[in-house]
Amino acid sequence: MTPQPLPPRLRSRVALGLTAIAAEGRFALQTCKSCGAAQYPAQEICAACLGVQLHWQDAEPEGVVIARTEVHQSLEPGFDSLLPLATGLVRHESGVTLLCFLHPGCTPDTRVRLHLRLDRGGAAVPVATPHDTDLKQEASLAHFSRSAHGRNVLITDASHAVGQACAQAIVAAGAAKVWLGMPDGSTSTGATGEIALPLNLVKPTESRHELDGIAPQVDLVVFTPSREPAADTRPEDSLAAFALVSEALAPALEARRGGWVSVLSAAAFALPPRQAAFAARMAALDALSRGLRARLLAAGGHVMIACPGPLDLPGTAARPGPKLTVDRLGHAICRALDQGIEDLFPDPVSQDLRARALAAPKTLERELAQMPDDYWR
Amino acid sequence: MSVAYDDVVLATPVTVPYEKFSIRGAQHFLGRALRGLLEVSGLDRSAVDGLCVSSFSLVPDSGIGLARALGLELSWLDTIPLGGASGIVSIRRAARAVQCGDARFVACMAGDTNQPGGFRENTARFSQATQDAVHPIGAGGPTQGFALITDAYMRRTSCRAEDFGTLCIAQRDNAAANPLALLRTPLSMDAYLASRPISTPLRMLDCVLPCAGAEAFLVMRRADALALKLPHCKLLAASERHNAFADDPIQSRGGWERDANALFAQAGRDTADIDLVQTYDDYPVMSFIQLENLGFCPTGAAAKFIAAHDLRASGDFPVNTGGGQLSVGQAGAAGGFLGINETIRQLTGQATGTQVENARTGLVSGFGMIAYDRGLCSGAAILEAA
Repeated sequence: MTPQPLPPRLRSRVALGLTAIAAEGRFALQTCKSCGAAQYPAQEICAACLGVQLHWQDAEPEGVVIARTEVHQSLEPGFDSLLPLATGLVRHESGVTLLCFLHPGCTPDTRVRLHLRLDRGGAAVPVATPHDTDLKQEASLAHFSRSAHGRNVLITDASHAVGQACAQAIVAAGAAKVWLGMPDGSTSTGATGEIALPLNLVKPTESRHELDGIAPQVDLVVFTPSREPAADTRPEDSLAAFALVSEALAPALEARRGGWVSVLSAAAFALPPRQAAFAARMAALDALSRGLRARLLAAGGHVMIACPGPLDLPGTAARPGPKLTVDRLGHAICRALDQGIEDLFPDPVSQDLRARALAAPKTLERELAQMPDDYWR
Repeated sequence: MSVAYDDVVLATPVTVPYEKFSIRGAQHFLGRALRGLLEVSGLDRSAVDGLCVSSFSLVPDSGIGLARALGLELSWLDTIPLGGASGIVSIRRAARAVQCGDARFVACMAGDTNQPGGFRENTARFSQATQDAVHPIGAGGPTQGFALITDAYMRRTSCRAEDFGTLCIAQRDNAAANPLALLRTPLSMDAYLASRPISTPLRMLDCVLPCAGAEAFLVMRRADALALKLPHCKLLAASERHNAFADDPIQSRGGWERDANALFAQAGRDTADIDLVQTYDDYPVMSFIQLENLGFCPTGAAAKFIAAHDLRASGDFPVNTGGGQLSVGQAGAAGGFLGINETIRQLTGQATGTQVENARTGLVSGFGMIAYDRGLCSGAAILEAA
């Protein structure tokens, strides 16, 4: 099968800043620290004052359509199946103008909502929709969504609370078929569309046989590693499990332009020093997930890495601080798939840690060293 | 006002006939253009001491690589990477070089090859802004950008598709008599309106045909042209303007609006003195904007203006008298030289198509380099029969 061509992927380094914003589902514009002027397309230097310090600053996702064209003939075969394609210039209140993909309901001289989305090649593009329009429900813009709706999904480990919550949310999102990986080998079938799959990833030969059996049908893998403390789980088991599943299913995901969700932890990037073994496992899985992402993106697939803060898991009631329920995590993952997000920080704690890690990683190391030992369990 | 061009003249218009595609490279077309200049002028290659070259497909070479390839030793060399504005800009550069004595005979040349798929590659990396923020949004090429400019123009002015059709049809009538034009079959309004959409509101027949070919002319002093017995025309005035009106939300005018008064003042002529106009017609809307910005009609009134005039070479307001790029073809950077050579030919009585009667004074404009949402370079020149 000849894979369908992808949209143009080439971007300058400064333009990749936009991709980083879109990967998190935010809307931001490159802005001059000296004079505040917004820049678009991304620049190396401020066009208004020649200031050299440009940063990405969240901006109001609003603008006015000032011109519109429907492209009937494209130079890139990656767009052929989408023609005719509505595009237009949208004037943002900052004074920059963005060439956008338009929802068909966007007409000249009307106010529209702006979104940054990752295209099939994984690069950011601006998209405009009328207000009160669900981008996901517009067929002509459906290629920006990675929704679980209608897809065949494998939950690698549905024996624990995170895997179960992901499965429930994905069934609710309208997945066609959901395989529930069962480390204990159980095969009892649950709700409609759910199929138990014996999958003990510590046993490579048997697991590989099961994975090969479903490979031709799988569209989306939700990798749910154990979150037990390091004493109960050897880090190398998690890494071997990832390698096993990704090697078995990546060729099928490439061919089907499928996806992968790694449900990890904010510990993957925050690296809490008092939970070093857990952090090491999550960080290693993060690295492996990025490797898989590069591979799948080149084929038009996608990989989302979810990094929640502490979860409200059985036995964590006494733990201090806010915790994210697994139900909310499952729904956040489905919503992020709808929006084509790559990097998910689904709760205030993970967002706070993310901001601290970006601002001052060394400070965060010392801050986290002061946290209780069991904070991340 | 900038210093007068004294007795700088343009002579020996050479066209390397256009081909839709070619297996040859840009060097081939530019080399044949130089050979044409030498044949027509009778000059020895060693007499050409200045070279001004424009090409998209000459990469990785610039002018110096070409000079080596063509065996030219030069005292003056320039490479103008300004697309459709390169022709006008090369006139300005070469004229000053000749006027100041830096060179005696400057060969101004533009040429490109065209290979299947070549247009896509050129478009994908036309500029960093294009690569980052235009090509990924549907890859409609320059037509998509000009469709947006056309859409805004039509809503601002109430101009209709038929008004653009009128210009395209007149240019095709002009092309019918020009053997250098790739498209010479007469065009009806029905056929124009029925041509398939490329990027709305633009149709197939609003778009130039990319092709391979070259254009070239020589810039020299009047005394040299007379000594060589070369038909020539005088350079009365020329202007260039880059990145004008950068704050306009969408392109509704070009740098001509800034420079038109100075251009006519330098020439000592008025719009009424112009016998023929060659606009840079990559898309009809740009011709409309040029007619407005250069003062032939008020802003937004181009449709009314062209309806009130006969634009054919035999008409009362001849425009793109050889057919323009829309009918002749666009050989890459040579597109900005096409109108210059047409003007030189008309003013020296050497038209390859229909000769405009009593053509004394001609205006030619250039426009180039759409980067992100607008064309950045505009220029114009007024030439007069010797």
